[in-house]
Parts: sequence; structure tokens; C-alpha cells
Amino acid sequence: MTCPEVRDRLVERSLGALPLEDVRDVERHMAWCAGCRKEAAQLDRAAATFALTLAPEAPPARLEDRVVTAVLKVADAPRARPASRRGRSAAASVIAAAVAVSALGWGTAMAGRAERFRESAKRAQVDQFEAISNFKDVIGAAAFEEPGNRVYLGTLAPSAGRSGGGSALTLVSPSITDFVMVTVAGLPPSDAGATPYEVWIVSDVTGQRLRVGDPIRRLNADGGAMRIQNARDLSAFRSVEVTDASGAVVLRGEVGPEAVVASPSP
Amino acid sequence: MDGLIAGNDDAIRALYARFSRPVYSMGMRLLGTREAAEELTQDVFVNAWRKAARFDASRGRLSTWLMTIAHNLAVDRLRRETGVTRPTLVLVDEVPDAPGIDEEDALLERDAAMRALSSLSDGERTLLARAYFRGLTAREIAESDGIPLGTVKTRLRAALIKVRRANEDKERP
Repeated sequence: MTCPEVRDRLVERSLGALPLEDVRDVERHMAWCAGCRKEAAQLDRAAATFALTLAPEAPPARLEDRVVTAVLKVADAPRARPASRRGRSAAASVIAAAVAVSALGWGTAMAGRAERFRESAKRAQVDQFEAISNFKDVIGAAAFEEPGNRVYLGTLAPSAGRSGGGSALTLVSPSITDFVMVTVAGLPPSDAGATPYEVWIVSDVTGQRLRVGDPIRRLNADGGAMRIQNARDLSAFRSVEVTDASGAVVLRGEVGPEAVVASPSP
Repeated sequence: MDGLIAGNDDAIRALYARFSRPVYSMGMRLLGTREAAEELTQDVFVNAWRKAARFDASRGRLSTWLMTIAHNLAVDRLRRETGVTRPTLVLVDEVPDAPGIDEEDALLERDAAMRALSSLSDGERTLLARAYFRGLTAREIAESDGIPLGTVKTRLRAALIKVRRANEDKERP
């Protein structure tokens, strides 16, 4: 969804009246769009005003102990339920792996390039980790752990004579909409002639190319950006490419295998 | 909030004492039974613990943050349980008051909320209430009233933005 499409739905979302089929798409967009998140938060506050006008009804006295016990139980859950923790760690390891492996790719890619880009890529990596964590919060770790869901990871390496790097994460699910998340960083932000960049995923089976999100017209100060694309079935789309304004491939990589999610961290 | 994040018993009880009534009231209004309202109240505080680290006091009040969580959970439940009958529309003017049982802060907050809603016309207030308290989508309202979907969306947006501005005005020094 684009920002205007999301903004068109934010009022209904804040009122809890957005059709379910739109809710996930809106939430996914807001995972990376700070502007829409801010607008949504302001509308949420306005909508909550209605709740505060309700005449207060006193809950039964016994409810307090029940609630406190429930919160304490969940707060202790990571220590009390190792199986659950492994599940969460597995999801976290997927994301950590994406970032860590990307760092290797960037390190190689940056060799011989200007030092400032090395530093900027590191900073962008931190920003991206935060963005990915936010994304995970919105989608929920359960999406990564649900039986039948498959997660593919990959790194993007620069073409000859290029700098930068990136990572891609694809989730293929029988129960929710497939999505791919692509991050890029270290692309020279001052290279106006190279923008807009475009991110593509390519089917290994049919060769079909799908553009991921909108063209990247502006990079942040560190040359980083993130794009998300939904589609019906992404299982065959294993190749990821980033092209510059001339159509030349500047970054390329492949996602897979899914085995990475099956190996929980200790 | 730090106490909540740390799983501090006293902090959880303090938060419960302050906000359990509006949350429970929300459950009663939207879900219609005491049992469902109790479950909602429990779920809200558990969710608040899970999301506590993301609460930013500079971006909004704790009460509105909690009520947003409560409303989202209640609407999710209504939609999940198709057998649950939506409660009768409750207009804020028709809500019976219960003097003497509330705490001062909550009363002040409720009073401020009522004043913010006073910026709306009766029609605007009813329109927003149909969406907020009954979970009617813009399309459902449009079909029910026989007016274009775009008109409903425009009216919902204009009304909610009025409330937002009223809230901003009252918080302005």
C-alpha cells in the first residue's frame, strides 16, 4: 500500500472499523513508514477520547488478583517456559542472522571504498535492525514460528565497481499473505544520477520479475532504505536485485534456505 | 511504567487501580457480559506489559494508550466471535452517570474527554460512535444509511480530526 492509500484508511483503523483484509496491509506499511505511524497515533488518541467518556463500572474485587497474577505469569514466562523462549529466539535469530550476514557482505563490499561509506553502512545497519525489530513487533513473532510458514534469508552483494549491500527476508505462508522485506544500505546518497533505485524479485521458475514497493527516490543520510512487497505466492521468487536509474543491477542476491529458522539459538 | 516492565507487583496493582474501571467499562459496553469484560481487562494489562517498553509518554497519555489497546482487543474479539451480538449503540449523552464511585483523576479525565467531544455535532458524534462502539465499517454505514462510501469516510475523518484538535487545544498551555 502507498502512503495515500494507508492515510485513507487510518481513521477507520483508529475507530476499529477497518475491514480485516485491510488491517494487515496497513500495519505492515506502518512498520516502516514513520509518517503514517505518527498520523495513526494521533488519530488513536482522538478515538480513545470516546472510551474515556464511558461511565465507569467497577470490576469485581477478585479481578485484581487475577490480573496481577496473569501479568506476573507472562513476565516470568521466558524463564518458566523454555520451549516458548526457544521459539522467540528462533525468530530473533532469523533477524539477527539477516543483519549479521549483511554486515559481512557490506564489509567485503566496502573494501577499498571510501571510509565514510564504511561508517555510514554500519550506522544504517543499526537503523535497519531497529526497523526490522519494529517490523517483527507489528507482524508478530508468531508469523515466523507458525507451522507451515517458511522464512528465507539472503544477502545482497554489490556488482563489480559498486558499493553498498543489503539483505532480504521472504516469508511464505499457507495462512497469511506472503511478503518480502528488503533493506539496502551504503548506496551513495549523493549520487543523484543513480536514483531512483528499484528493488526486484525474480522467480527462479518462470523468470517473472516483480518490483518491490515504489522506486527508491531518496535514500537517508546513510544511503539506506527498506521496502516491503506483498504478493500471493512468493515461494519461487528467490532472486533479489536492486537496479539504479539506468536499469543496471547494483546489488544482487538470493534468499534461502529456510533451514535457518529450524535451528533455535541455545 | 518501569515497574510494570520489571514485573513489579506493586506497580501492576497501582496501574490496575488507576485504569481498571475504564478498561472494564469498555469491555462491558462492547462485549456485553461481565465475563467477557473481565477477560478483556486481564488481556489489556497483559498486553500493556508486553508493549510497555514501546510506550512513549511524550507522544501521548497513558490512559489513551491503554484504552487504545482495550478497544483494539475488544474489536478483535467481537470480530473473532461471530456469535457475539454487538451491543446496543451507546451514545455518550445517554450513558448513565455513576457519581461518587470514581476517583478524582479519572473524573477529570472523563470531564476533559466529554468537553473534547462537545466540539462535535450530534450527527458527528453518532457517526463516530457507530464505528467506535459498534465496529461498523464505513461501507456498512454507507449501505445502512444509503449514502456514498466516500461521503461517510469524509465525515468520519472530519469528525475525528475535530476531536483531535479539541484534545490538542486542551493540552496547549
